[in-house]
Amino acid sequence: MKNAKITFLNNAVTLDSNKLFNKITNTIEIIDKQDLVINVLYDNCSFSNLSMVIKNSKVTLIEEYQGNIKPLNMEIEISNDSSLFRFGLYENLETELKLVRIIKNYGYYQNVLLDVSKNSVSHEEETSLLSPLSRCDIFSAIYANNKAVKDYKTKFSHQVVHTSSDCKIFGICNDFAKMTITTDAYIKKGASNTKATQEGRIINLVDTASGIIFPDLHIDENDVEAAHSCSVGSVNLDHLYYLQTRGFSYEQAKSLLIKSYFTPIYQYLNDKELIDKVTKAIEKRIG
Amino acid sequence: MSLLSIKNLHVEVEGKEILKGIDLEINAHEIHALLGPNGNGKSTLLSAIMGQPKYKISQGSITYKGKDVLKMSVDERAKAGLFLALQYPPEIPGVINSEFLKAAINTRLEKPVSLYRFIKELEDATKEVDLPLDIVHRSLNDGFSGGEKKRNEIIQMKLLKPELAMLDEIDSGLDVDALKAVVSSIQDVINRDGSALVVSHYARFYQLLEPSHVHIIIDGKIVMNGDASLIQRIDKEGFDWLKVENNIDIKKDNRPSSIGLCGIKEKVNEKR
Repeated sequence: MKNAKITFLNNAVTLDSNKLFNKITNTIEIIDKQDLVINVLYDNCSFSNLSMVIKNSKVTLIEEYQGNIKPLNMEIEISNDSSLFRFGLYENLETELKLVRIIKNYGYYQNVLLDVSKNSVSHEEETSLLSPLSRCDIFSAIYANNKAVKDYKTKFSHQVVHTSSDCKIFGICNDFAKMTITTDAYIKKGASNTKATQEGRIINLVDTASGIIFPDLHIDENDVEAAHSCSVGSVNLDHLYYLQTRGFSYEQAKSLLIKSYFTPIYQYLNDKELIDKVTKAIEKRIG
Repeated sequence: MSLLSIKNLHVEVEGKEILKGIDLEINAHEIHALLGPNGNGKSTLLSAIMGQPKYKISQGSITYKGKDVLKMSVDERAKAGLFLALQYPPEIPGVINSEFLKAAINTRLEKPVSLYRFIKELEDATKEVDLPLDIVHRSLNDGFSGGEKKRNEIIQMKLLKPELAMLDEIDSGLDVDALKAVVSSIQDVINRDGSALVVSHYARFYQLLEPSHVHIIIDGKIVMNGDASLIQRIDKEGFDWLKVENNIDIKKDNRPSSIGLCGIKEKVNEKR
């Protein structure tokens, strides 16, 4: 594993350990890099547009956002001989985070996201699957409390045959927070033998919290496999009772069930340092 | 003093009285078997003892080692030594089995259990119930087969070491070897000066278990007490002889045999 670091501070790049960032085109260029891990820190970042191009590479991208981030549009292109595993951590934000991400995916794109920020987040991501066998897997775990508004729009566009997408988004909504999860999968004419699955789950911990999910499939081709499911509700009382019968207090049992929404994130992580960081972020915000 | 003492227990669910005056005394080293047709209150009794919030105690008392169980929360009952192996253990995705077990053990301890001791006990327990060890790294009961869920209940019982083990139809979905492991686990409880209260319809299970006391529940009341010979008779003749010989009316279970109807089918049936 080779490690690289890039830091965007205000309107400049203050650290670029492997000279990956092209300042003229505002593009992170990754070509012929196998098993590269890039840690990107957006610290009070005021860039409005960034691009990333990945060719003949296998990349792990760890993105952290902190401070006051200006609305950021990002375009990523992944070639058919490449894969990108992106891990996003939204934790120490001082203001609302607004991200729009357009992914032109000819290879494999996996996006794992942990949002435990106190502030509002608007996250819009559209992935086009453009080459046969191109694939996209999304897992997001989101926590919203106080008066935060979290709006997640995830869109997949299957444009050719034999593409697949899988989207799992789990949320916990507390206090007066509002959470909206919208997932749309478009299977275009000609994209036969495509597979698209969506799963969304939100727990509203109190009556004043409001979580809602819109899972939609737009299918314009025969011979495809597509499924979606969603559930929105309060903590499952049968689960609470079961845990209590094993000695957990009401509060302990509830906390265990809340954390259970975040547990699946670990199955996507291998790096010990990253696992520790995720554990700390979850414990700090959720207890 | 009895380990568990139940006096004139009346229990309601959604305004309907299910238990209509249960009296039961359980002492250390005793294994009690509860029999009766479906829908007559056996599971309700176990759940009421454990404190299932859906069940409202309208009259009567339950004491455990002289303490008023009805004043205890569910977790306090568990920590006091009560354990209920559920008929349908729920699937809880995201709660990892091994972490759940370790945390459950620690709820009973002042100092957390040592990792070595926990792993050793967990390995022994999974081996005894014939489950692969990797099942402990999966989410709690998530995607488990019926038999795996029941075995997992027994693993929990072995690790949590209760004094009063209550098992609600634990035998369903288990083969004979697994039943032997269940019996051995109950015997461990008895050897620790504990006792057991078991619901089952399966004579083979009772043959292995050899309960010391047998009770028949009909329409929310214990209508007959006896020893293991009662089980043999019920296995051969069913419950109808109770009406003929003892003039006891047997309430038939009118609940639907299917799991449920989908919303559309319900609407169609309403219109018919």
